[in-house]
Order: sequence, then structure tokens, then C-alpha cells
Amino acid sequence: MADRAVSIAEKRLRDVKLAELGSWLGSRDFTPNGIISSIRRGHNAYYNKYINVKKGGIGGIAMVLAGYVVLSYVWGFDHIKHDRWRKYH
Amino acid sequence: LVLTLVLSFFDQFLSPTFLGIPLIAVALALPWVMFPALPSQWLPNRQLLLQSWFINRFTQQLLLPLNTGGHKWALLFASLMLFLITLNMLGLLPYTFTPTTQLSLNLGLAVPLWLATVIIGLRNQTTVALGHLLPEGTPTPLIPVLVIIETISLFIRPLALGVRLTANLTAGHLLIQLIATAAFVLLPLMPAVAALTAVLLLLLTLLEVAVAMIQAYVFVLLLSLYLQENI
Repeated sequence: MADRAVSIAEKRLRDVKLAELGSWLGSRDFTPNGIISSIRRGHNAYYNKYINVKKGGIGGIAMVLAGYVVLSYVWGFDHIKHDRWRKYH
Repeated sequence: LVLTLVLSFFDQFLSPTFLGIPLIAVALALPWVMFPALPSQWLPNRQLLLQSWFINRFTQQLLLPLNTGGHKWALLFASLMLFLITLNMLGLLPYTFTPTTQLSLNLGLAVPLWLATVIIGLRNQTTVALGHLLPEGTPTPLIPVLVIIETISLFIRPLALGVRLTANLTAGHLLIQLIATAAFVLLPLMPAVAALTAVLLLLLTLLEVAVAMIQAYVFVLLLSLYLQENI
């Protein structure tokens, strides 16, 4: 099953093979405009898949909030680890 | 070791930094993600429907006592209310940082907005604005004292706005952390008491949710009242 030949730069991340990862990263646009447009594309993809649907449920927001909680934990880990190690609270 | 024990309860109000970025920056940017832009459809999706219902109801209620000049402030009040209520509610999630516990942020919101209402009043209707400094019907000997008192109360308004929000949220977060620590420490020793403390913690969390919403509302409401006097 041969895939149609597409240049590396046009492939999405999920279609890039592991060996091609380095050249894929090299071909991405890391200018501020490029970063902003990639953030906008990601946001639109998430929004249209989970929130902008006829019968959206709580999952759309819940995933964002859960990700925010995990992110905050990662941010404060250097401080939180002392709470776990402490003998007396 | 004792010093770290005493300080640790206030450490939750220090914004941790990771890769050079403080968490407060992420926390301040998050409300923007929660409210997507309205498309031109009448019926977009459930989230936008609920949000626009809330925003419309709230703005309508808030703008009822204001005259036409005050309606120019509708966008500002609505966005301020959304910002504060989102910041407060998001801060109740575990491990998150609440920017409104920082006095600098609350004073930074309160002072310019209060000052704007005062300057608008003094500029457009000077006599009326100055007339607010003396309540009607005061006995003549009391007039000097009352003018001083009213001036002090005028200048204390921004301080009160900022400190009210800060103190309510900081106290709530501190209480949650204290009671949670108590329940956690009591669990191996006296499980029954720990269960009672856990129930108390649940009730307190519900209270904090209410306080988060109410404090945001009070902030905006008082600002609209100050605007009413001056517009």
C-alpha cells in the first residue's frame, strides 16, 4: 500500500515517520507569525472537534481544565516536592 | 525547620516560575481561552449559548440603574466581570494559582477605574460631584467635619475595592489549605474526626465557589454605583 508521495513539509505531525522527524522540524516555520498561526490552527482544531458541536458536553471544557491543573502541577513541582518530603506538616 | 512550617501556608500565593515563565502569566491568559469569539450564527453551540445568556442577563441587570451616558461602560463592566469570575473560579482547582489574591492586581484594577469615575464626575458636572461630599439635611455646625469625613470615604473607595477582593480570596484559600491539612494529618490518628473535617472541607469549598462569584459581582457592582453618582 504505497502512499502518494508528499513532501515532508506538508505532512501533519501524525503522518511523519520517526526517522523523518528531524527534517520535519527543520522545515517548520518558527517565526512569531508561524508560531501564532500554529497555535491558532491547534485551537481551531480543538474547538471545532469538541466545543463547536450541536450537543457538546462537559468534556470539551473539562479536558482544558484538567490540562491546566496538570500544567500548574508541573509549574509548581519544585515547590510541591517539599510538601511530600516533609515529615511534619 | 519551624520557619518553613510557618511560611508554608502562604507559599501558595507565590507564583512559581518554570522555564522563566511565572504561573501567573498562564493564569491571567486562561480566561481568554474560555470565551471563544461569537460567530454570526444565531445559535452557535451550547457553550457559547450559555455564556452569551449569562453575559446578556448580567449586563442588562447591571445597566438598569445607569443613564445613557453610563451605557458606554457596558463593555468594560461585562469584560471585567467575566475576567474576575473566571479568575476566581479557576483558582479553586487544585494546584492552580489565583491572580486575584495579589493585592497589586486588584488595586491595579480598582484605582484606575475608580479614578475614571471621579474625574468624569468632576469634569462634566463639577458642582454635583462636589455636592456629594455633603449629605442633605446635615445640621450646620457639623458641616466641616462631615465634608472631611466624606472626602476620606471617597478616597478610601479604591483601597476598599482592592483589599476586599484580595482579603476574601486569600482568606478562603488559606482556610481550605488549613482544613485540608488538618483532615490529612488526622486520618491515621482519628478517622472519625478526619471524616468530619472532610465534610467541613466540602462545605467550605462550596462556600468558596459562592464567594468567588459574589466577590467578582460586588466589585463590578460598586464600580457601577460610583459611576452612577458621577455620570
